[in-house]
Amino acid sequence: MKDGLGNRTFPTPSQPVVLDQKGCHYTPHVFGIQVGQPLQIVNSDDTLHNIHGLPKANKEFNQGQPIQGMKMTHTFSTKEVMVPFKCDVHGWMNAWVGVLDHPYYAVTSADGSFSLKGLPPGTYTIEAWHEKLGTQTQTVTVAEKESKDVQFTFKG
Amino acid sequence: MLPVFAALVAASTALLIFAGGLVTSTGSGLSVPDWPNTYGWFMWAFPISKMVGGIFYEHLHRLVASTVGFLIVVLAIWLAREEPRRWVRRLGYIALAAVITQGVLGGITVLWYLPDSISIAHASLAQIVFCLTTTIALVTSRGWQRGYAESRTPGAGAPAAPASSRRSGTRRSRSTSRIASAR
Repeated sequence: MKDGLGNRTFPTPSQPVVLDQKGCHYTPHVFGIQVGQPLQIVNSDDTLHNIHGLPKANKEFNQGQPIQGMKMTHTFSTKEVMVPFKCDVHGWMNAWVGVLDHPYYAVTSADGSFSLKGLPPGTYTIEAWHEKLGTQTQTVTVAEKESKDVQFTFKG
Repeated sequence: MLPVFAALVAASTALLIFAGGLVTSTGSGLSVPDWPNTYGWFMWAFPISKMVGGIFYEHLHRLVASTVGFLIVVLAIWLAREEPRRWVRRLGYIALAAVITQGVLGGITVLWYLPDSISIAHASLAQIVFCLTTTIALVTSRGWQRGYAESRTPGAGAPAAPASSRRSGTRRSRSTSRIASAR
């Protein structure tokens, strides 16, 4: 959800989002988090990783996790879509996090579907993001207890 | 012995520039997030088995750099104790200051996530350090010193310069003509 919530504020979840480094890949590859929500970064590999976040609006960080099982917690202070992560030790490792100030976000499933539930009635701008194909936006209006379908088509 | 050591230092500085280039070209600059430690280990205690991926290039660069830094410390002390020419001793001090600055620039560019200005300064100063060590190697070489000594004693009946010191011979005749015109 890019726009349409006005000045509504939402509580910050205390439940951490977990980003795991396993098999020299990030799991999940793309995910969402709320501003201030803890992000727990875990190294499940028996090798060294550095977790390097490259935000523009938030503060850049680079932390080493040389020992299997190491954990660190990070929080983002402002909304930013998307923040890339990379491991400079293993150049192929990358992940993206969308940092939002509300809970209305989703990652598509394997079949490309997604759902945003519990939206207050209103007109919203929905933005779809793809790591290689960029972004698209659509506007949708939902009334009380109404469901709407939106469809994004990316051409690679 | 000093000329041989100075040449070794110059060669090791060239090697260091290659090692630094490897870090940049492989994008490994931030694969070791901390400095001067490596993943919390004292640099020289970091296990070789953990030099994986980009860490290999970044940590190797640190090891080569600290070795070259140590060699330049030895060179500067050696020059200070044995070199009669003040300007050559000063070259040693300048090289020492430059290589220490290099170490600090290399460290802060990691801690500050590779800002262009620091990384460019680090890469450029590297070449100045190389020029300094090469100059020290040249002016402490036997061929250069032979020509230098002859230029200081014009008409002393110095033997002809051997083929290996043709360059210093050129310098000798230039210096001699300068002295002659001063008279």
